[in-house]
Amino acid sequence: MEYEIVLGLEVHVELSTESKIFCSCSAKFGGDPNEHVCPACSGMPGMLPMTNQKVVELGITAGLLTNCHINRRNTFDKKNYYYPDLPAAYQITQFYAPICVDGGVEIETSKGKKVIGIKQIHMEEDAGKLVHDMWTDSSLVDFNRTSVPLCEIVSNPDFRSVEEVVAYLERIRTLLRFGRVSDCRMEEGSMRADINISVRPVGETKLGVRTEMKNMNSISAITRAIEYEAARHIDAIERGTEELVQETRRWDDILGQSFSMRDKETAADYRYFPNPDIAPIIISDEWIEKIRESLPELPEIKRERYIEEFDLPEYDADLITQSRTLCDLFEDTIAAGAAPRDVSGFILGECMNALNRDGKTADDLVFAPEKLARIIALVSSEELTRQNARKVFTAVYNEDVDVDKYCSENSLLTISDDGIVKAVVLEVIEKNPKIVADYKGGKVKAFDALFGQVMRVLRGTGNPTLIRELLNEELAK
Amino acid sequence: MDKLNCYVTKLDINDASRAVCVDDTILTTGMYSTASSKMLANFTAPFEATVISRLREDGYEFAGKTNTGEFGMDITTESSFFGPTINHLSEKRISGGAATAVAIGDANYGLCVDSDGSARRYASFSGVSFIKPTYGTVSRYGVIASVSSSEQVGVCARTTREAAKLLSVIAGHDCNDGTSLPAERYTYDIVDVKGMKVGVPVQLFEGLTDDAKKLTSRFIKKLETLGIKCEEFTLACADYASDAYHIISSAEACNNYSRFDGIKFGYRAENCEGLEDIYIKSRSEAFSLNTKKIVLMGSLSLSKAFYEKFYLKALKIRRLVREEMTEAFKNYDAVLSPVSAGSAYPLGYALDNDEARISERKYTAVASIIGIPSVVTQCGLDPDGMPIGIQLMGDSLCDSKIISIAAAYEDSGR
Repeated sequence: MEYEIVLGLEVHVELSTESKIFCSCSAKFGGDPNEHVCPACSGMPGMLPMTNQKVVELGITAGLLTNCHINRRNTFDKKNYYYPDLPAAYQITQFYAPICVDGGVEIETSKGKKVIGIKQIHMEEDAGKLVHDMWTDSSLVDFNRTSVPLCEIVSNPDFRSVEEVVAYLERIRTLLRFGRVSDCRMEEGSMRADINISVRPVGETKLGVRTEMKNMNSISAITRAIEYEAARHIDAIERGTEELVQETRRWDDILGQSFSMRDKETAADYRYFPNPDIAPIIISDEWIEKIRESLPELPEIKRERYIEEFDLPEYDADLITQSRTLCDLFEDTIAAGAAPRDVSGFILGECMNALNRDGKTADDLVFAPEKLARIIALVSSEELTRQNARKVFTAVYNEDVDVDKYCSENSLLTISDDGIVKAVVLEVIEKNPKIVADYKGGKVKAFDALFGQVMRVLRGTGNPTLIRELLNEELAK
Repeated sequence: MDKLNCYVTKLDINDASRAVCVDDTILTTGMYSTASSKMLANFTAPFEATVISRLREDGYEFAGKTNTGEFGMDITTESSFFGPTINHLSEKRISGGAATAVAIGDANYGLCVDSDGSARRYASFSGVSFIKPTYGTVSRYGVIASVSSSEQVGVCARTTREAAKLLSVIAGHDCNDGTSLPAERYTYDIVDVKGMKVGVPVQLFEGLTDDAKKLTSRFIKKLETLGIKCEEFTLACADYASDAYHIISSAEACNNYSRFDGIKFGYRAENCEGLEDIYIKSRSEAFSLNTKKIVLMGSLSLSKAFYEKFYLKALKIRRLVREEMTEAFKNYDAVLSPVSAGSAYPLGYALDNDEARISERKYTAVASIIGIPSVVTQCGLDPDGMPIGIQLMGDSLCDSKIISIAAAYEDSGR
């Protein structure tokens, strides 16, 4: 009997905001335990939630990027359960009127293109973190992550393979990173996926028993978990090894197995009701249009455009369009006057080398595109040698220095002044009579030696063409 | 000396005429804010309520934190962890801390959170005036929440005029409160009441003691001497507003009290074995019976099995009450209502008396459920010398009108 697997995904992404969703605490990742906490996000009485407008803006953006319908009237609801990482014993989420519904994301796999339906996207707050303390055998609660804004993207059960799931996750990540909705770093927990999986005989339309694995935070773990769980379901059905129940299971990536948790599905009654502290948020058509206009060109469109309009090699275009920041840098540097191939050369060369060496990403770059354009311009006009351009770039990359100031302070500009170069040429000729004699006697290499000396005196900044010209001129005398 | 048990925390003051006593459900710093509950008996707030900041900035001082029913959600202060407040006119009867402190002159003003109408009742029982303002005009930031969609900080004082004076200091938009209405200030100007019409809803005046009935008639006659026409009318929602409000208020309060779990602050039971034990023991030991009933009722109303039948239905009824009262206010400048069936409860009467709660809630639920303003003033004394108050309800943002009627009545010598 052949089986097909049916999967649905709930992807949680942390939104790229400065502050939390209902208070002005920092939403930054990390920090000392309970450093980014205030009475609101730690469940104190007397506090009231104040909605962060940027969160709604990013919710709309996520909806537009995934072709959803944006609900004009949004409400927030309370989801009730007790756990120490939930300080008020309720999570503020959107149950009744989520911000986006009925969207779709196109993915491409080895089997071709397909649209994965998106049931809804809703805004909600994250919970805190529990840390187990070995010494006292107790759990410690860190509220830094409490109330960090999240979007939850709920797909329809449209997946039929692991490959489709991976393609979808990568596509969501690309879209949301490009839209600057979230940085989608699974390893930092800013993107997590809950996997719902069931199997059924090929041709059957009814869905089989569904199990869920929550908070998966790496694509490789997701791959392993799906393969294991599908096999476990099939085994249970074919050979009766166990009874399949609808439940949430814990995936242990080290052991490579899933384990049953307490049966949460039937036990959980979250008693959702509308949050009376937050008035309904009405989204205007104007706001949606404004956001739609500011949406970035999608990476695949940019890729085609870079190849056609800028004559970029496919390989370069592929690399640059991995990152919105690199695309912005690329386009803005061209807009500042530099030639596309020169820009891509610098970005994929010096820039990526530095980032890789430092273990950073494009989002960590600190300098403005105009500076890169200036360096490239100086190289084009032969005022900077390629070697010195690298030195300047390093300073710009590390400390965001002013290009011209740095060049003059460090004497990096190519000296093309006739008078200065000629003086050095004459000096070198005078001080090296033997080499001059060798050259005049036919040793061609002696010219290079003289050239090298002139360059040394000029600290590598002599205009090579000019040096050669003047040397030839003087030696001919 | 606090013989009447008005205070959870008493403070020294210089000038009673500029002193305000504050219900212990309102957060103040540098002292406990207990909500009259064992759960918060040792809780010091890290910030103060907006209403406190505004009063302080205007030069008022605070006489202390006053006793209420636990979380301000009980018809009697007998459920307070600190015991009942005794009525200053009879040691066998109860009242609320702020109303009593104002009545005996400890402080000129009291800040009371009207969540379930109790603030209005205690004012009535102690012979003082009380203004419950329109929902959204006074910030709830720093108020220990029970009924988020309806409760408001109100002011009690010996006269309505004085209460209105303090109200204008604390009312006005607060950017920390998402349910706060936009107007920056409210001035509560006293207007001429001659020619106004007051509706008397027949259904709300059922179940009164004979003394209350008599004093109500006297009050109506008094209004008529001021040129105010009083007229009976039918208020259909009187019968179901109370049940609907009971459902809504317990659901919201139950949810607001969930944060009191013994984990982060407040009371944590001893000898707990594991997480569930901490939750169950702490809450069981620290909540009064009344609060437990509220939590159970709220959990039931929001549960999957009853959400539509109870909670959603109650929200729909709320809409019907709104519509019917809007119609009524087209004909009347104010709608009259009793505050209670009679005068102050004897000790022991209300403590576990569910029937009393059901019948008493009827009088205060209409103003609570739709957030309209209500002013309590005094009708007179019953033969035992106990005060009986009466309510004037107004349409949203028409606080001035009802304040004016009450002020005119009080000016004329009650």
